[in-house]
Formats: sequence, C-alpha cells, structure tokens
Amino acid sequence: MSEASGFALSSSLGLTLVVLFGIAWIAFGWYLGRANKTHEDFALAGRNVGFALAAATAMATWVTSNTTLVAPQLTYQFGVWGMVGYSFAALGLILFAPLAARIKRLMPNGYTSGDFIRLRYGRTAWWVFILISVVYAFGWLVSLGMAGGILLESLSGLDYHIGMSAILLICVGYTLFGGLRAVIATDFIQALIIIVGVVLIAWFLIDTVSLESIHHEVKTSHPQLLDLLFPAAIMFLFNNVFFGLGEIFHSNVWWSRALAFKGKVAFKAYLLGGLLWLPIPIVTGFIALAAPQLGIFPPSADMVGPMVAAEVLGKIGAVVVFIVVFSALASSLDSLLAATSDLVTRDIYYKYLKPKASDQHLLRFNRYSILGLGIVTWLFCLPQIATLGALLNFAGAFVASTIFPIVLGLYQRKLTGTYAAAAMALGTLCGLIGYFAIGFYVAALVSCIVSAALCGLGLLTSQARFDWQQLNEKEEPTS
Amino acid sequence: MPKFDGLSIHIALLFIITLLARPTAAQTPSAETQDPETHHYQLTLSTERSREGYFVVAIDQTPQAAMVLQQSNSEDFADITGEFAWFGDFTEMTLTGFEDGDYFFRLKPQAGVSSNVAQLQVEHYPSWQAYSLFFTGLTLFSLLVLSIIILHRRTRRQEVA
Repeated sequence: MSEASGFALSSSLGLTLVVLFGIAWIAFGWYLGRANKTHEDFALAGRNVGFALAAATAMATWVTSNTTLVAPQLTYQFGVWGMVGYSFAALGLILFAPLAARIKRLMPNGYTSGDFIRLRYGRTAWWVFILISVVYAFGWLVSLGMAGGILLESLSGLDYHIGMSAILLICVGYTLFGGLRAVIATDFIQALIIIVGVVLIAWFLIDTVSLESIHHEVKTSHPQLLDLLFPAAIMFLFNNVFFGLGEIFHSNVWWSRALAFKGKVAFKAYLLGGLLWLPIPIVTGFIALAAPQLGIFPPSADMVGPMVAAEVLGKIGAVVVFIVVFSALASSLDSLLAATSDLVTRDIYYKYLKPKASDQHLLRFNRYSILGLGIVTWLFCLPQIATLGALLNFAGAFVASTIFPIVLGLYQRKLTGTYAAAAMALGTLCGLIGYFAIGFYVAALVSCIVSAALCGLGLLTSQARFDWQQLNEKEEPTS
Repeated sequence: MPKFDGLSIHIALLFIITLLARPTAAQTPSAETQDPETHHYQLTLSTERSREGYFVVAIDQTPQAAMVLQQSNSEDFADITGEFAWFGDFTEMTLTGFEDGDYFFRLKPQAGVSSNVAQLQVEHYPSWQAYSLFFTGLTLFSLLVLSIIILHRRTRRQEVA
C-alpha cells in the first residue's frame, strides 16, 4: 500500500497505465481497421471468424465488470452463493450454443437480433424489443464506464470521473477505427490476459492468506456469508441465471457474433466459451471473502475485488489487477458499442429512415453511432447513481422477458407477434415491480415467469404456422 | 462524416484534458482534517432495517487516520462485538454478513474523534419466501433447458430428413 494515501498505486502510475493502454489499443484498432472495405466488413468482420477467435471473443466478452467487479461484490453481499450463483451465468453462453447454430442456419444473411424479431414477430414486438435492447445496452454501457472509474479510484484514489472518461475514450477510439474485426482481435488478446491474470491473483491470494484464516474470520464475524440457507442469496440464485440467459439470448452482442462466425463454428465456440468462463467468477468472487480477514471494508461493495487484490499483492499485484480488469472492461465495452451501433444503423437508420442508403453511407453512419453512444454513455456515467450490481440487475427486469419469446421464436411456428410483444412488455413491467417492491435480486426471475406464462398461453391458443423462409431476408445490393 | 486526422487530434486533446484533471488523492488535506481539536462525526446508515444482512455506514466529513468503527449489541456499548478499521479517505463503509438481530454502531472514542450511535435491525426474509422463489426458478429453468434440448433435436432431425 502506498504509505501516503493508503492506495496501492500512486495516482501518476495509475494515469500512466491508462495512457499506455489507451495508445496500445487504439493503435491496434486502427491497424486492424485498415482491412475494412464495406459495412459488412466493419459490422460482421466479413462473416468469416474462425474457431479460436470465436471461442476467445465469446469468453472474453462475457468476462466483464460482472465477473471482475460484480462477482466479488455479490460474494461480499451474499457469501458463497454469490460466487457460485454468478458462475451459473456461464449457462447463458452454453445454452446459446444451439441457438447460435440455429440462427446461422435460419438467417444466413441476417445482421442483428432486431432483424429476427421484426421478421418473426412484426413491428409491435420489434418496438418492445428495441426498447428493451436500448435500456439494456445503456445499463451495461453505463455499468462498464462506471466500473472503469471505480477500478481506478479503488486502486489509486484517482477521481472516479477520470477512470470512467478514460475507458470510454479508449474503447470508442479503437472500435471507431477497427469495427468488429478490431473488437474480436482485441478480445482474443484480452482473453489471454484475463485467464493468466486471474490464475496469478488466485495463486498469490491463497499463498498469502490461508484458507483456514479466511474461513475462521468469516465464520466468526460475518456468519451469514457461509450460510447455504441465506434467504436473500437463495432468492438471488435463479434470478442471476435468468438475467444471464436474458442478456445473451436477446443481445445483438451475441447475435452479431453468431452471424459473424464461419460455417458451423458458432455452436462449438459458444460451448467452449461458456466452459472456459465458468470458473472465473468463482476465483474473482472468492477474493471478496478474504476482505474481513484483511480488515478491508470497502466504501461500496463493488470496490471490494480490486481493493483486496491490491492489499494482498502490493504494487505489482495492483498493476496486474488493473491490467486484468481494464482488459475485461474493454473487451465488453467495445463489443457492446459495436453491437449497439449495428442495431441503430441497421434496424433504425437503414430499415426506417434511409432504406436506400449506400454501403459507404451506412459505414460512416455506423461510426457516427459509436461516437454518439460513447458520448451519451459518458453523460449517464457522470453521476454515480447506484452500485454496479444494482444497476445491472435493473436491466435484468427487461432482458429476462425476452428469453422465451426468443427460444420459441427460433423453434416454434405457433407463437404469434401479439403474444411475444405482450410477454416482453408485461414481463418487464412485473419484473420492475419486483425490483422496487422486493429487491434487485428478484427482478429477472419475476420478469421471466410472467413472460413464460404468456408465451405458454400463446402456444395453447394459437393456430398460426410461421414460414421459416421469411427469416432469410435478401439484401438489395448497394454500392 | 468524420475526418480521421481531425478525430485523432481531438482524441489526443481529450487525453490531455483527462491527464490535467486533478486526482482527489493529490488534493491537499483541508484545514479541517488537520485540526487537532475533537471532531464530532455524524454516523448514518443506508437503512434502519436490512433484509439482506448488508448495509452502508456513512460519516459526514473526511475521516481521520486510524479511525475505527465499533459494533455492539447494546446501546451503551458494554460489550464490543466487532471493530472495523476505516479505509483511506472514503466517507462510506459497507458491512456485510450479519445475522438477525439489533446492532449499534459508533466511532471508537479516541483523541479527537467522537460520534453519535447509529442503530440497525437485521431481519432476513422468511424461509418460505426464499424457497418459493428458488423452486419456482428451478422449475422454470428446467422447463427452459428441456424445451431447448427437445426443440433443437427435433429441428435437427427435420432438417436432416
């Protein structure tokens, strides 16, 4: 720890790391972006991503503020169930594997998840879906920007706004230059950094603070954290599963990858990505249990992970923590910027406002969208409105309502747009009621239950038979 | 449409602006924190009744070095059941893992530091409510997984046929 301030890194070292990272990533994005000639190159990396990059991007994108900052937060709040429950979010990637293969077969020319909802369920459901997607995208973007600020503040004491602004600036910079090609390539490097870094941190932690002493301190002073029948933690468990499933099933981050992956790569890539991801929240969450033993009681629960790691590992450890968490944040932030700007460009601008826009025009608009999203996210990040966990789980009320409409929409001809729209709208509404009336740890569960019930009703009462060929929308050639 | 030379210059300028921002850790301690006289802190809790066993304790001014929060089961602090060192210059501290019961908090009286006593009740959700949601979630999740497996295998068979 720095003697003067109590922080592991000095503010000048913190800033130096940020600047070095920023220059490296933006230069790499610019280098990769030189190969982008068309909008399809920029948005879907030419639909030609191989298995190694595909698995790495699936894993790295899912390692985000959720896993590096929120998993320790939830372990600090909910104990053992916090980290185990968080690792169940890997089920989202694993269960998306068959869906991704189906998406690739049904929509070989598709661009976005919005395309699917529009073609499968019609305009009303599409509007509900876009609203959900926008709320979720901003919830996640804001949480990632906030996480950057929280990371730097907890390690070096630098003002929250500096870290938050820096990570947004860096990710907007290289996504703007490189598009999805840069996003996937940086994800590959970031995945390697994350795996090596997390293993190093866990190794040093267990070596420095014994498991016995951690267990003794938690059992004596914070017994609820070891209680497997901890009521709020039990309520949180499946909520987190459905939140993770909703995030992945609906988000264009994952759909655009499924469409960008080469041939039959999607199934294997998502399966492997999920299996690689599974142990990471256990490791990152575990370090939060060492906080009481080390006498660390953070100002905000989402700061506990980096504070413990920095305390145990000293200055070098803090640098490792910074690099790992910053990589994790960047790998998700860039993906979300790229996928959301695709959604804005394709689903709103191209389909509704400028259907005759040329390919080069769309490419330029896509870049403007990335820039605009970055600026709006920065504005939302300025006031630190909630903890990361609470902010993310607010979005859970929205996304969990899309799980059954998406799954049934991909495999079942009978579910109609009216029921799908009602399931998403009412599911979200009830999830929000649960969020405010009970707590953030039930929002997704309530939302999914209501949505599933309405979808079930829709299947029972419907006589419709959807024609799958309608999903294979051919693009008019543009120049 | 963006001109990338210009954009690069703007990004560089924004970096410089970011670098010039003054970090909180670099700020000179205020006269107030250097004052050797006694400081009376106002302790507040994020809630009076916690349903999850975690909560945030806040103070109304910058903490002093080596300040300690004390926990007791009685208002007179006859028996101190826990002590928590205040970290850095943050004005908040999150505590967690508390079982059902009434808890009292104050800053440890020492040279230059005193505070009010803050009271908290921890009352976890009833088991029936937790189990109801758990088993509902488990049932729904099982239904979802079975649906995906059955529908995917059926579709694959149809595609092969």
